[in-house]
Amino acid sequence: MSATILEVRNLKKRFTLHETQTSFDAFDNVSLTVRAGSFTGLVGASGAGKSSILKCIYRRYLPSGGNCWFHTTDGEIVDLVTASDQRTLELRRKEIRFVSQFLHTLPRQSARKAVAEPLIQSEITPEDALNQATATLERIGLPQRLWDLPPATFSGGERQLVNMARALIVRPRLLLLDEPTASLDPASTRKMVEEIARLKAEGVALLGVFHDPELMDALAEEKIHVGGGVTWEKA
Amino acid sequence: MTVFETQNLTRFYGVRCPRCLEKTGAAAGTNICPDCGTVVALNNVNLRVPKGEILGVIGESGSGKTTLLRYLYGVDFGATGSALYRNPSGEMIELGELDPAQRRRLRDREFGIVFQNPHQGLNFRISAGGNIAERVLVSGERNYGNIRERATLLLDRTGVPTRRMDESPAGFSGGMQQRVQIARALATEPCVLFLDEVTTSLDLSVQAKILDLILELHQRTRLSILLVTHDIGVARMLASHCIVMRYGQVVETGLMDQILEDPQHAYTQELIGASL
Repeated sequence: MSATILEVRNLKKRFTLHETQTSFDAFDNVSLTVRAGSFTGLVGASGAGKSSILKCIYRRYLPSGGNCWFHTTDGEIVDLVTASDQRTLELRRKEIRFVSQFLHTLPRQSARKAVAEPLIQSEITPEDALNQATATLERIGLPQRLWDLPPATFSGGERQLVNMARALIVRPRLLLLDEPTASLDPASTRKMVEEIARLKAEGVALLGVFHDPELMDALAEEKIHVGGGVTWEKA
Repeated sequence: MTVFETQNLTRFYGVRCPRCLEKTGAAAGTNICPDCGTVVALNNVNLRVPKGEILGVIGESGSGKTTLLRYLYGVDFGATGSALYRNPSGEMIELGELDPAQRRRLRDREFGIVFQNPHQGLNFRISAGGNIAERVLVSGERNYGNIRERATLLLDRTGVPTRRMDESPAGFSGGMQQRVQIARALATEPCVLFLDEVTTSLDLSVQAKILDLILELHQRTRLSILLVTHDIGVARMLASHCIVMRYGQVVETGLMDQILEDPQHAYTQELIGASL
């Protein structure tokens, strides 16, 4: 069996809204394991907490309990629930990438610059970063005429390609996918699926949500059912 | 790695009494002591400014943002508690132990600042180029040609037409004045940049261009930046880390996207809710 990259144990998220003085559990007691070169899929009804699980692992949401043990490239094991902000940020830049449902980029920034951004944070020159962004956009299949335009002017599907390219310009160790094909046409979806298969073959660990059950069946080695505040693993 | 670390940093304005701290703060809903009228501008502030990152300090007017910035920058001396600064050679320096001349040296050589009001950051009686030359001179450069060359380069990099470098900034537009301030702040290649509401008084399109410039400079130089703003949009665009202040206290710290998507404190929830 391939190496464990992420072990989630009894992860919990409880939201508290102070204004209305209400609290609710997005999910509770989630445990799962993601291995190198395999795709673990999260399935469940809308509102079951699938996206919230991904966001807690990425620390866009603060988890309310449990552990997320991440095995880094250097062989360190980091609990993403308690890691410092700076450590979390470093891991996000180098090892853990996230394709969210919506793309947030700076308003006037070109697609190429938006994709290159994670690299500009590292040590390479801005020119090299832009060259790598170009290569990534080409691989993902965004039409060349769009490369130097701001993604705010793109269609939903085109934005999603930029979003994917942004996540993949750094070779991630763990890739979190939140419905990356939701707004794509069949051709782009095929490209995305090919890309995911390629990443798997290269040993990237993937955890994610797909809208389309057929795609999920085709891609996932393992499916985790999420719902009712309780989750259980299914072989 | 951090560039600043504070512990229980506290700043009083007034006579102060033994109950000032407990009677003020976010939970008390005021920063004015009801017993003695002292303003507690900073109330046990603990924070870390990560090296090479942009830390956004957000909060409403009077929450202590600018007081914090003024103390770390070194134009305010009256705070108690600890504030450590890591200089470029890696030594940790307690700011409270420095005398005014030493703090001035830090401001002149290792820090840069951009104020909301250009009158505070620029000398309008001399030219735009002269404003930059002043800073370069302080850093020890004496050769006229070199100084002028450096001023030209900085103005060019910050988008000020260099043919106007011999004019007073008084005749410049608001956005252009901010650019000159930024060029001036960068003149000595500082390792920390303090930005105090730098886009607040500009109209939206100019604001956007200044933000682009700051972001580009940060990406190229990896400066550590302390960004004080009450505009969450500005913080969202620039900062990777964030602290939220209210009534002199830090009520929440976190990564910027986490603060925006999953704010924990009642006040932060109100603030984020109001901005969207």
